[in-house]
Amino acid sequence: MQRILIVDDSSTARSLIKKSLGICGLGNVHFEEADNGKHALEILRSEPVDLVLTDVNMPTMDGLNLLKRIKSSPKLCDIPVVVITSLKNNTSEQLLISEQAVAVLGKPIAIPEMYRLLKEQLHLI
Amino acid sequence: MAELIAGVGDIVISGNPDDQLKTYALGSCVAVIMYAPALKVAALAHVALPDSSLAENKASKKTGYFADTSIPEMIRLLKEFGIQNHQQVWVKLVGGANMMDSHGHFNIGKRNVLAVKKHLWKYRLGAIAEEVGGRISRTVSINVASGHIKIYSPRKVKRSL
Amino acid sequence: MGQQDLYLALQKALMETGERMIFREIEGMSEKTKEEALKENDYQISIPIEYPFKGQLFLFFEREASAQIVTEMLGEPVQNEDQIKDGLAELGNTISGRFLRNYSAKGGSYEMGLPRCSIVGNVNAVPLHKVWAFRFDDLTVFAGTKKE
Repeated sequence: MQRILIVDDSSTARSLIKKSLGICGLGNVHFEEADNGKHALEILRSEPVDLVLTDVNMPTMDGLNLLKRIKSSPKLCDIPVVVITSLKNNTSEQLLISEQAVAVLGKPIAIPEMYRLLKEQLHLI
Repeated sequence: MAELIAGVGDIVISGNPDDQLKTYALGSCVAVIMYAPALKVAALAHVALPDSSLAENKASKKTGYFADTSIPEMIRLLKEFGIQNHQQVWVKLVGGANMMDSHGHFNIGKRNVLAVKKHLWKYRLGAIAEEVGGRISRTVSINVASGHIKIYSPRKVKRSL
Repeated sequence: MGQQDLYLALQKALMETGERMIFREIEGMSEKTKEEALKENDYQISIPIEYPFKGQLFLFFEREASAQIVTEMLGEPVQNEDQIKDGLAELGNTISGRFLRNYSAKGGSYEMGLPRCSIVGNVNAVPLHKVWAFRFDDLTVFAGTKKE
């Protein structure tokens, strides 16, 4: 069973992401949810996950800092991180990719784009 | 090999790997294609309008005519072929072009696409690929054995989706 | 960049988000005074903007339509008012991101804060004179910006 961590301060956003992943055919998944980067790190320290999907704009610890913390941790650095954000533009995307995000998806989520990412880049479906 | 043709407002479905489902001349209409890869079952609807509430009599005779009736009917038919879970199925959309309707309005194609997507979403479904919009008429077919979709348009190269 | 550019960027953002998230297209647009457009108890989403201008984006949703908006976003019925507020805030967050991307110089950066959902009390207290009304079939979203 795959374990996926979804990080977003909005419960609506987390629901939309889970639903979109289901539409893309990602079955047999256990979802963990966090509403900010600090909460996400607590979850990651206690149990492994196969993929992290995170927003950027969050209170307490934002997505960029979460990404940096994951990629600088010997235990967590191999976990792929996808950023899903309303703040997507050329500049922010380049910054996030340089910090080793696998991909940056803009909000609202485009199902075909998510499908291609899961299938062709992450090989999860 | 049998070719099952969906006319306007029709839904066709097959679990026979020798079959092909096809629909012609999608202008503003939308072809909704559902495919279960593990069971090799395909369904195709030729949807003409967004909402059945103003024409309930027509909807009862041709459930594929409207976006709000075609989606639940396709799901019901897929269940008869053993598909119980929305995650067993993918959906692709073709059509919804901006053709002028009898009132001189261009946007019925987009309205059809949006209505189809809204009703798919309610059933935890969505299109993983689509070729919609533009101003071209399209003909589309799906091979039941493989799930391969081919799209044809006048003066354009045949393409896959 | 002037008011016209703000309006066009906002119109495009609402069109993109409306079609993708609530499956509706914009059918009409007009400018109204806040007294004409807004009502007590409507929902107000405010998003602070840091760059390319310092100010706020405001979005207003008619109370009667809001449960329906969030239901259509989620694809399932909403359970309570907290869910409505969270849904509208997320919609506002998405619209704001698109608006700033459209408004900023091509590929340029932008910064915004977290969306906040509140209830309109006294319409006179809303810090705008006019709002743009974007009509989506049977519901209207009102929007405005305020620069500091």
